[in-house]
Amino acid sequence: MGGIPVTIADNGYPVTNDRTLGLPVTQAASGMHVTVVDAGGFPVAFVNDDLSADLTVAEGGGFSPSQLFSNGEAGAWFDPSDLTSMYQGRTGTTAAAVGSPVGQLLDKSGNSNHAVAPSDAARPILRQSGSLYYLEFDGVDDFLLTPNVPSLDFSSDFSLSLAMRFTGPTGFKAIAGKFVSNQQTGYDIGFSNGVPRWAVRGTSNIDTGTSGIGNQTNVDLALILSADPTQASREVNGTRVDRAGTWTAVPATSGFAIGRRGSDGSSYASMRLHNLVLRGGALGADRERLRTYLGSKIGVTL
Amino acid sequence: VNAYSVSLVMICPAAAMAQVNALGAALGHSENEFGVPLSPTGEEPATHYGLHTWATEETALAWTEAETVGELTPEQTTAVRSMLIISPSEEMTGSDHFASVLVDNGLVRVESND
Repeated sequence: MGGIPVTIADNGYPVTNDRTLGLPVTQAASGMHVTVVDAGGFPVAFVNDDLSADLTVAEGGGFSPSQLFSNGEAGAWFDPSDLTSMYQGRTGTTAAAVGSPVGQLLDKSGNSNHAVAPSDAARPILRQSGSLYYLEFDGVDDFLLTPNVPSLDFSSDFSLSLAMRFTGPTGFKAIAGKFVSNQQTGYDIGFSNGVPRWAVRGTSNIDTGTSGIGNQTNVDLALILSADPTQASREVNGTRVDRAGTWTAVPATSGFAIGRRGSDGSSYASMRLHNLVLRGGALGADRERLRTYLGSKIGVTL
Repeated sequence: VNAYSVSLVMICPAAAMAQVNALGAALGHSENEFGVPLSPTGEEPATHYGLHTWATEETALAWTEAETVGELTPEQTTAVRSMLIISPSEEMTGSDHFASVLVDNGLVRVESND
């Protein structure tokens, strides 16, 4: 029997003392997972000198995206790490399991904007990597779609945030959106040759294009996309690029889609989706907490 | 164990959609399974429709080999199956598999506007 030294280092928040935990184990601990939740609401950073242990940090116990909806904010929150929020059947039958298709993904925001696959072939697959869970979209025909509800049409501050990995291919590939292409209405996020590109549309549009951010193919990303009538912003793992412009919204006659962009069925992305938060209103001070939370879903400390 | 281990690509001629959907329905699927419009040039109209799915071996065999499906006779299932391009694989991944089947059959995804 031995102990694994785990040090909680100063993480920039009010942690005044390092603490060392001696965790008793009975055998070699390769592959073991340790989850630590601090009381202050933020993940802790580890210093781990013992490479025999595989340490994983969960999100802080003090923040959940559900808090972003506590005042009745519009939007949706999809969390593939919560296996109770997914079903294999498109009508909500048979609980999802690792390796199974997911036909229904429940909205955890409280707004009941549940996302459903339009066919069995469109269902993504639930995968597990270590302690992380994600939906794997095949880039051919996989997508999930919410009902077309007016509350998901935004005309002022809102954000679309994802913990994800884009896996290809090149060209323009849609990730998510509530978008109707022949009307150029709504909003959408896609990757152009591996670079995230975000657009809000209507009688006047802001399209961020691709400048300012490099190729993010096969990179784990905490992506926060936000917009207001004067700018659209992309934040990639803490680095933010703003694009000024004028956006006058027109509602899109489509549900919110994940895996493609709304009713536009010509472009699908191969991707891993770990988490998605769509929310009306400015993020304000919650942006930092949300970034940290999204990072925890892809195993990155942000 | 990953039960959904078979990467399954299927392509159906547009003219045969009704018969193929009948087979799909008999197998318990929806009428919207073939969701990717295809043509030799990538231009409309679509001449074929395709799908990709991760299937169990049981599901893949039902599409490819079952003699009796629902109320369809063996002759009917054989006739429908003869119109389909069916490609199961345990080696290729989803999008690469789909792209490979398209190349082999001279088809391109139709980039349509909704």
